Amino acid sequence: MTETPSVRTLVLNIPDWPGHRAGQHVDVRLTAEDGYQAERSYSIGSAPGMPLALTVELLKDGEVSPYLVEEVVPGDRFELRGPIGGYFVWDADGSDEPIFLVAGGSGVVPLMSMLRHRRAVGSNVPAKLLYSSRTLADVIYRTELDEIGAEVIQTLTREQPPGWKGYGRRVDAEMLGEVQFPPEQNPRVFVCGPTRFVEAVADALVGLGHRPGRIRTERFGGA
Amino acid sequence: MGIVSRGFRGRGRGDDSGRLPPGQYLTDDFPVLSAGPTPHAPLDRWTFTIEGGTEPVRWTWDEFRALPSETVTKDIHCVTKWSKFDTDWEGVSVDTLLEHVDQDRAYAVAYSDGGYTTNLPVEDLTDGKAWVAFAYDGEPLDPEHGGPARLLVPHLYFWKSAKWVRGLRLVDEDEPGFWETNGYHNYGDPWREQRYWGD
Amino acid sequence: MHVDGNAIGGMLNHVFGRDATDVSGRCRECGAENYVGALLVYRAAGVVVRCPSCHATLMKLVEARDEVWVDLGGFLGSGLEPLGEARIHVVHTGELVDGDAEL
Repeated sequence: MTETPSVRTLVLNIPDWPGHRAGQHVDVRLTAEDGYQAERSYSIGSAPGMPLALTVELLKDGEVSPYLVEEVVPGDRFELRGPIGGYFVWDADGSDEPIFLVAGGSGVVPLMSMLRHRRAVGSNVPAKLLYSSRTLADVIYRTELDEIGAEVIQTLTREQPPGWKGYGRRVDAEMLGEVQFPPEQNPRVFVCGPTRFVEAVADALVGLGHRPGRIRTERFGGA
Repeated sequence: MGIVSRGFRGRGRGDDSGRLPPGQYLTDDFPVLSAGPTPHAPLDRWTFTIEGGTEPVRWTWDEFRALPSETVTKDIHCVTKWSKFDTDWEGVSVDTLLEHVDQDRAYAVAYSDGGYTTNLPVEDLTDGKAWVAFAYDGEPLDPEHGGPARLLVPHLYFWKSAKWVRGLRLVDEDEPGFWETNGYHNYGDPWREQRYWGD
Repeated sequence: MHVDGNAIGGMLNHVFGRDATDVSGRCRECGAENYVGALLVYRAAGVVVRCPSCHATLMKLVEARDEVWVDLGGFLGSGLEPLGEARIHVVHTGELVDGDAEL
């Protein structure tokens, strides 16, 4: 399913799939006919209990993402291992600690799994997503976010449409301060996206008074 | 081999010229692979030292750059399977550096800012086989690629071409370095595909 | 550019037989305590795992064909023990169904 011009969600049928937790990922391995292999990690976007769905962003100079976004068709097979991860996960386990999710670009994928999970189980845990994208066309899961049952604050860093009501700049300490659950509410924070984005956001949150132990991060690398 | 994914082609390609060592793929870009954060040593405090001779010999950046240098074009081979042909470097030959050192050691350990080390026989650093390179493709060597200066030993896998090199310790007994103590081959000849310990 | 311990979660599952990203330990150099998922990961000839506070090397991992060489010496108190016996690398084969499946 095409999410944006450069992002695609692949739903996979895996006969012995053990199920997954929100926030986990898989490692995909592709083998070419000459034996060349490439391996990459992709976050699971679907909620626990649903079929495995990976949302993949096409990277301009990518080696695996162009294949997954532009080439694969139903019936194609490739190897993957997973689900992987026990640190960057959120379970709707009955705790009432608010969750503050901060996404840069395709970092929204594992956080979407968390929000879908929360909606699917009918959790009332207060939840906010601050989601940074370049332009409106780059926003993944756009219509579903309106109905996800959590507060979604967006910022578009490169270009905003006429009448845009969200933020229009890169995430900074001031924006985080306006949007966050304050530290006194002891939120669990999950930050995901390019490495530089994650580190800047995590540093700013610590500066705003969140304890480092309450902030979990997943870095996607990047230029 | 894993199951072949229909239509997947890696970025790397093969080559029939005979210049590609076994198991390697040819690339046109220059991937950045680093074992740690990029150091930023200010040039006014940069030194290169060779220890293990009758006395240590040290050059400041200006002294180093005043030494005769040469430009060379070499094929390079990374153990992670990418190779790049015809890379252009400028550097000071290790032969030139060793002319200033009174020594008779069998092995060397190259050490770098950030703590990386790699070991080689001294004879793999001499007779025109190695340089301390300060320019790539006509430009000062980028910090991401090991600048201000890196070791360049193109006949071995590129993990031996230590980025951010600051010196050589010349020793009588071989001392396996950062990767050689952790599963990589002690010598690393791409033509014998000596990637891992025991190959 | 570095990533973090989450990115090597699969490799660590293989080495330790369990998820290791949710395990915490201490940097031998500076004492900083972190979960593996929060440690910095550099991919060079092999994988180097570093302390986010002082950048000391906490772990090195090299996949050498079907063996993995693991040095955990810089990461203390985690209780992580590499599996000693021959490991089976579990690989799932997934078939793309795509379409407009309800999620």
